[in-house]
Amino acid sequence: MKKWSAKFSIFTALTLITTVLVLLPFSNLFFNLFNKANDVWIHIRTFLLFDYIKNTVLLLVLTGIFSGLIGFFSAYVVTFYEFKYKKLLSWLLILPLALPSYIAAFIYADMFSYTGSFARLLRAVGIHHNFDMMSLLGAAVIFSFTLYPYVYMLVKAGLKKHNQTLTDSAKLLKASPFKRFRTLTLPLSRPALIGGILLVLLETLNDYGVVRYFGVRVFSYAIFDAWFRLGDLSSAIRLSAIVVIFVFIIVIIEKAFRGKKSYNILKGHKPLRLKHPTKTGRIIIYFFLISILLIGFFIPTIEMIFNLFTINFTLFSVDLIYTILNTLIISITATLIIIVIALAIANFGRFAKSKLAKGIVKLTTLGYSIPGAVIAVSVLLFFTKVDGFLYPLYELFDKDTKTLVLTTSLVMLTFAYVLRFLTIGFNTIDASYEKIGTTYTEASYTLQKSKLKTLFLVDIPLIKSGLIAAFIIVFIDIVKELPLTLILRPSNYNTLATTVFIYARDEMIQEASAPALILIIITVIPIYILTHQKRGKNHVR
Amino acid sequence: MFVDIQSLSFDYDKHTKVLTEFSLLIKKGDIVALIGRSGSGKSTVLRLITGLETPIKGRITVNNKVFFDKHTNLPPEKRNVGMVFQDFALFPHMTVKKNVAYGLDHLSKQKKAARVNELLELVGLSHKEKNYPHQLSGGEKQRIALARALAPKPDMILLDEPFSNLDTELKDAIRDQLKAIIKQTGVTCIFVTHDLKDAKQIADKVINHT
Ligand SMILES: Nc1ncnc2c1ncn2[C@@H]1O[C@H](COP(=O)(O)OP(=O)(O)O)[C@@H](O)[C@H]1O
Ligand SMILES: [Mg+2]
Repeated sequence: MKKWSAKFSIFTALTLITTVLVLLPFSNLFFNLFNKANDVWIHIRTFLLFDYIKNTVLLLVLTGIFSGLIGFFSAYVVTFYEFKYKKLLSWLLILPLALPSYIAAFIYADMFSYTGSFARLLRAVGIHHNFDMMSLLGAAVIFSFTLYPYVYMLVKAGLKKHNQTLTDSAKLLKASPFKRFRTLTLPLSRPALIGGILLVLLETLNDYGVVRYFGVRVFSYAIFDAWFRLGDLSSAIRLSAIVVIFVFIIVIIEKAFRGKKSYNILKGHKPLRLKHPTKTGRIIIYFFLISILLIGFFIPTIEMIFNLFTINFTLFSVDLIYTILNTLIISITATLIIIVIALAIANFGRFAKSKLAKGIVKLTTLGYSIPGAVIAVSVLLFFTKVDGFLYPLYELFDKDTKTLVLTTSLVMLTFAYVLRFLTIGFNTIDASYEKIGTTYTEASYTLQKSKLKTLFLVDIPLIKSGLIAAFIIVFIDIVKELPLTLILRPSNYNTLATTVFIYARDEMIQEASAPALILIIITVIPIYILTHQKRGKNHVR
Repeated sequence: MFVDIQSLSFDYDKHTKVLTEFSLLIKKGDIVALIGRSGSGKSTVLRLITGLETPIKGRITVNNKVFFDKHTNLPPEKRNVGMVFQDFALFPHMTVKKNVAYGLDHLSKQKKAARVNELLELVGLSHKEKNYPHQLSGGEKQRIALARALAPKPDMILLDEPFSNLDTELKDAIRDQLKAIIKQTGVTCIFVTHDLKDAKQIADKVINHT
């Protein structure tokens, strides 16, 4: 007991509570796996499962390759070459993060349809070919152009660590440019490249909007299909379990590919000498970067703006204003909860030594790798149980209470957001803690300050920019989130994401444009703030 | 004895023993140097005394207060032991004055200001009170860190390799200065070093830690 007396703190308490709350829904899900297989499952297993697996693998492989190529080469170009408007382009390249894949999917499907603007343009110039956008390949292209910024950002950060001395010594050893690229640049940025692709793949697995709209039968499509069309939750649970196995395989492959820990390169004080491309080189660079930006962001956005003018649609109806408020309120609330919990877990983790404690931190923050469809199933099952358990308590307050109180409230949706996005908040905060180290905190303890006081007086001021970054990244993710919101929202409750999806599903692409544009504006602003954040005046170290 | 450490054992993980049955006795007001090669566990001894690490077994008492034994384990903030860290750990977002005042929450505003002035005078850096840590030289940082640790009137003060982050030319002057400051306050002190010359010049007692 004595060991705990000094170690036990509010951080430990919050961490343990969170661990339990994370583990309960998932373990509940797995217990449900042992129910006897029914006819629906046998049907799925016999006729559909193989296709689900094949499509999912194909989609992941294609998206991984495309997004890896786009992300890597765009990061490479802006790191090693000097050209006009480079600064502007290098931040614009992050912008597609503000455009949810499902919105890009609706717009492109519409543009490529027979009456769509792109198809008409093609016919006008005499090309009579119909591109089938609504296919697996189309989905892979959409994912790649909207999700590549994950690869781009990580690789760019990785390449920054490069130093001129390495390149120079390679040159002195008479290595050709291609050999230098293959033996230096690629291996040094491999951890970042693979890490970025992992994020893209997890997002792809999580997606429901694109695959549902395009009718690509992958797992999240399958889970919802089993659950709602076939009305069989137990099959949805089995499919979820298979997805989780998928995720584990991907994560293991990532670990194997990334190789040993990220290389610790000597801090190069010698900045990189930038290459000046030839005229042709410049043209290629501009063409490459601008095409990515057009496809990944500007074409869909501009098309939506045009859509607004083609119909008599008021930008701000009363409904839409409520929807915006709903989106902001729940996103900010969930984000704040996530930041508080992530801070506690980060504090618990950074002084923890035992394997058990480190394992707890890993477990608690595993949500992000679990696709939204699976989280939705787990959380719904779990809350139905909790409501059943709490029913006597509800009766105490209200004799005619309904049975499902929490399940029909926003508590459930908020809980699911926290479960899924805690990882993102935690990783960002943990990274900034790693930067400042532990001595400032320890110094505060030896100056007779409690853990909580230290948190507010020392830790939070020192990791402030990391906290802001965490807040922004989580907020953007929640605003864009679709599958969880779609399933777990109370009836008649809409966010911008669900509104866009429902209009699009009902083939009202023009009407979907206003909420979609507002959603994009709400995410672009924080991305701008994040990428243009001023470094604080008091540098740490 | 003022500081009484008995049969302390500790390791960071199962495979490497850092301390086994370590004992140490110190009289009140003594300056003790703990000397040993790098990696021998000197910093760990200091971290155990401050409570930043928890021993596996043993007993630590200071000024008749039990820090650690079978039944108790005081958290660092209740031990009243000051520490000067190897890299000084001055809070970068606070001025010199704020840094020195940091451990003085229990005092009234006037008393706090008076105590801060007193310490800044003691270390000869009153004119730097409005500066931020990054505007100080290595030697100045060290003296501010010392002032900050001494401000709450700790029972004991611990210094981890106080000269390792300083230029060698400055070392002789700083060594004498440091000794003078500590002796003037009369506080009991343990400092860690790997340099026998430092140890002999400052300490009342040198302990070889192997
Ligand atoms: N946080 C830690 N985790 C694991 N091992 C550590 C940690 N800190 C120190 N050690 C190990 O404990 C031993 C003693 O370290 P330390 O007390 O810092 O030695 P010294 O201060 O004498 O150089 C060393 O072998 C070191 O590698
Ligand atoms: Mg040491």
